[in-house]
Amino acid sequence: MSSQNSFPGTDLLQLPIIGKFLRWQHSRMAMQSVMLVIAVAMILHGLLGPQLAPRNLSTLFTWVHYRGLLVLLLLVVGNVFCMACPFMLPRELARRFSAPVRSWPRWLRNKWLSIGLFVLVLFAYEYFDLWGSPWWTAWIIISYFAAALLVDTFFKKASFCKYVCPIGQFNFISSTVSPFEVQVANPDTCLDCTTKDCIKGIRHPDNHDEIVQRGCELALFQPRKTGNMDCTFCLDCVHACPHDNVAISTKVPGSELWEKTRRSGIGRFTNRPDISVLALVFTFGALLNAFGMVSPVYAFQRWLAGILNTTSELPVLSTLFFLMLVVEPVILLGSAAYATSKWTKTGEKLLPVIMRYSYALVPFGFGLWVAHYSFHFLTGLWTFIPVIQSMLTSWGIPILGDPLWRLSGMPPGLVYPLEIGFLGLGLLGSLLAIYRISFREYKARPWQAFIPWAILCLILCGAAVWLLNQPMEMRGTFLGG
Amino acid sequence: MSRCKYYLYCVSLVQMCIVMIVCLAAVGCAPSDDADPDINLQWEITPNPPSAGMAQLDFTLRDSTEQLIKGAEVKLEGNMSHPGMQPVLTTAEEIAPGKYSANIKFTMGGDWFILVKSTLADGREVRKQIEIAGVRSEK
Ligand code: SF4
Ligand code: SF4
Repeated sequence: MSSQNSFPGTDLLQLPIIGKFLRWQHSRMAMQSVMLVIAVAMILHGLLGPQLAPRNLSTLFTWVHYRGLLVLLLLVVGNVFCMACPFMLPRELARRFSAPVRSWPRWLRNKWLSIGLFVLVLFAYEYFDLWGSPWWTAWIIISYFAAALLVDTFFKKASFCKYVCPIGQFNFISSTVSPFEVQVANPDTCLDCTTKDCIKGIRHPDNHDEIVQRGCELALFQPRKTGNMDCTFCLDCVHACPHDNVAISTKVPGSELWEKTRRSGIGRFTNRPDISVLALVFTFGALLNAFGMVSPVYAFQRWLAGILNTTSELPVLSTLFFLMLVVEPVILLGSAAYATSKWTKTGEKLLPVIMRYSYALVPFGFGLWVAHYSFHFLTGLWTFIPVIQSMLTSWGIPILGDPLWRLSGMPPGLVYPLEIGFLGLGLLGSLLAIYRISFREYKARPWQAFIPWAILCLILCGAAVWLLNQPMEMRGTFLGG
Repeated sequence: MSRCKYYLYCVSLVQMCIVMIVCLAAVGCAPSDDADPDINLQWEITPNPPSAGMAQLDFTLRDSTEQLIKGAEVKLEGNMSHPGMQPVLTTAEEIAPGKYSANIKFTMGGDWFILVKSTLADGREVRKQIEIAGVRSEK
């Protein structure tokens, strides 16, 4: 088999060491195994170690290093976390004993369940102050393993990844702005292909029930796949293609957000209200998550508590979530869509306009997630060293010496310009997507369509800059002041 | 796979999960950070409530007979409840017999805890923890 790679960009599979590793049949399992060992250490330390968040591996790795690395890798490579996801390992083992027979229910074949779970995770993070609880963080990791195992033990294909996993949805929508994509190297080769193994998989020639190599379990058929949405970078298609015609190659980050093509396994973005809502929850969730970390949120919550006449955090936090994830988007997007409809004189209904442009907000949202998470990651970069030293010492293996608690990371002052840079990149990406959508959909009056959405983006970006300039205040409760 | 085998598989899977949860919950209940219960630490902070910036922590150490403990060497380590933040390290001075004082700089607002490590005159090491919730980011 020789590669007919005619793709002009860089193909990771063609690189000397990385390419060889990724082509290795067991590369994913090797990465997952490393991640599994780390996850088990986090669980054990979370349950048995000191219940002090900065001194416990489960809280430190989960809320500082994992989140930071995740967004930075999404920014410079792609959906690498799904590729190395340890939650999939137990299900792989379970499937060796028994193959699932049920298909995921038709009415759940969308993103609504996972969007609900994504909001639930954001809510639980604030309500239970998960960042401060090693024990609860360990339990979240355990629950994740259990949920992935249960769903994929009963249901065929990658049901958990595609329809349930909130982290997966975060990764999918973020990776639309990543620079690498698993894609066909030479489309002409696919035209002559008769087996379509990249989607069907390869079965044993003598025993047709035995799958030797899976095809895409996410229902993404390579020749008709557009972009990274729903792609876990599992590389099953790479291993399955008999013509060695699948590459991990560069693309224009974000370009899939303005493409109107019909996507394999997804359909058209403009016909998918669930993915559109996912894009909006992702974007406004970034603002909400950053807002939860700065000082004004507590004053706002106290003000809300006064209005609601309560001292309980549940109604106050629920109201805050409702305001920021429902009321704010409805007002802002409704106004922009109304202006677009009026100024372009198309008289369109507002909902299709909102759905069309919702995807354009993703680069800005991603920029804010990167700014926020990279702040924690970079300022606390080396804090894992003393925690590991201390963990090993407490387990009776003090091979790394006394914990160096003074170690931290970059000074916040140095990280700030980077945060603004990420935000600026995101804003540029969103403006470009808005421009492309406007010039595609409103040929007669493109600028009239562009301006309201550009203003919306600038307002959101202004709000994000304001948030990044607020003093941080990471508290468990808004009460008491 | 036959129906019976499938049923058995499901049952054993659920059993495995339950056993795992019970075992882990049992060991998970164990951690406790209140070391040295025979030593009593009483503290107050100025300003109260504290804000980001300098604050003064005054405290006393008493033994199980309520006697003040004199001559201890006390090191403090301030940490935020959020992981990944640089700790603030300082030492306390004995300003009167058995009474100690330290200046500590809260680098940002939020929930803090201070680990107090005292080496008593007899060489015994005592560890205590002070929770300082809700340090304001502005005065
Ligand atoms: S198996 Fe390979 S050549 Fe055939 S359609 Fe899929 S990617 Fe193209
Ligand atoms: S098999 Fe599907 S999910 Fe996996 S890398 Fe290929 S396209 Fe992506």
